[in-house]
Amino acid sequence: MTSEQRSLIRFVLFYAVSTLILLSTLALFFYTNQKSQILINEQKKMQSYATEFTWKLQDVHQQPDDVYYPQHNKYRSAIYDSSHKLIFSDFTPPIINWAKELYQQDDKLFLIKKVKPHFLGTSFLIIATKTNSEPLKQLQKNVLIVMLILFTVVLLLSYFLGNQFIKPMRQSIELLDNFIKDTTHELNTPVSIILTNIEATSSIIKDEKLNKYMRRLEIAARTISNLYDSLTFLKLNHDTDKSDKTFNLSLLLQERLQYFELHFHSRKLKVDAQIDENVMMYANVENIRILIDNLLSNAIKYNKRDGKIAVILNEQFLEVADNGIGIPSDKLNSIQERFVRGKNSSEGGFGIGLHIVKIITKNYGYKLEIKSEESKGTIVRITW
Amino acid sequence: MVKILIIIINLAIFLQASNFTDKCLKCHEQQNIPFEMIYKRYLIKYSSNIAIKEAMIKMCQNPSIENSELPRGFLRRFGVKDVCSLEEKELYKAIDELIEYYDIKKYIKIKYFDEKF
Repeated sequence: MTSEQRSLIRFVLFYAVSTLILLSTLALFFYTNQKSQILINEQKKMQSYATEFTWKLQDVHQQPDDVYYPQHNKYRSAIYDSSHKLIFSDFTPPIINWAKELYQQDDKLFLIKKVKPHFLGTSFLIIATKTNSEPLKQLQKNVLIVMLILFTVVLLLSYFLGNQFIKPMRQSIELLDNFIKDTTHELNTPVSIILTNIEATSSIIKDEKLNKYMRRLEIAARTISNLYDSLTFLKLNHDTDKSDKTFNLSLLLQERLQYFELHFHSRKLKVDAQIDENVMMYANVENIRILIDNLLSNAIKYNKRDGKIAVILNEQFLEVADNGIGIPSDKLNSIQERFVRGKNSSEGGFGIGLHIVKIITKNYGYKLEIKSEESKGTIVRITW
Repeated sequence: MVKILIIIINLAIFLQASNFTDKCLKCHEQQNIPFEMIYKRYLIKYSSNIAIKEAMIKMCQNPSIENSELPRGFLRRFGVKDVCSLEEKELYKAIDELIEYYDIKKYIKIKYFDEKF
């Protein structure tokens, strides 16, 4: 995943989550308010019936022989005296919560109304009804649907805004990629011409001093050529599935050590190579060549004069160690990222060597370990 | 023997229960002051039987216009009642019998009792 993709995902998540929290809070307020409203509407109906009931109670009080206890098809009632003792009811009332005027218990709603004058001795009138869950269920459903729609809109909006947000970053990266592409393209031909002509010239020149200068030219040209290879690799971002084959890694490593011999010699570096014979590998030869070249060129670049380079290759791993300037401990984690360099930025390079090594090892599922201590050296080991 | 015992017990109960009927109801019926009306007036004001009893005892022991629940017109016509001649224990019992006798709960009719609610 590229850094811009990561940034986009982070932005979308952050924006979506924070908006969701806000929407949920608003939805909760709305739901609570509407639920109260449903309850209030029911309460009004019950209070209206309670008033009507009280008047009917008066008739029963005055003519108990002629009038029946008032009843309703939807509501049940119970009358209590001033000491909360049940006088009469048309259902079996539960224990009443006298502290509230209206409350819900299980699936029933209870309204308590004070009665005065105390017809039939009634101080408290209880009206009870079964709660209708339909309006509440409908409300819950509506709130959920609206929340889903809003959240979808928020997600789409956050994606759009995120893209706008990272547009400048994307443009910068595109600019850089184009620069690399143009640079590598421009480098290729002149470097090839330089190397070819140096080879041709070296076979003609007999003078030792001139040859020495030619060697230096060759080292410099090869350094540029290696840089060209690395930049090309980054630009094309090699696919591991293409042209993998079994090859002799021991031979390849020896060939690259020979290629860099001029460089070792120019800085008087001692190379101790312990290479097991016939270590075979299944991969893209060019990618592994670039990996080895980057490890060796780093060991050369960040080494001291008269320093040492140790190269170990066996069936389990490839290790390149130097006793150069090392990498500061606070940069050890980030050194594998693109364009991040170690302490000595006066040495050449764009900081892409270890990044390329990381890409290649990751593509093949190899393990990359870097141990380093400032002023003591660096050990890079690739285990497969 | 057993039969005689039962008769004596019933008589005793009847005689004991007659405080309300003998000492209260008779006089009230003679003066055409229905107890039912009195009880309902106390009921509508005091609600609970305990409060009704306390108010009635207070009126019987200290009859006055302020303690009476009768309409003012009634009091002007009949005056305030005399102090009740019953002893305290007898008075309490009589009032209990009155409340029990006229308890309105017994007279309330209902069409349907919802047992499943």
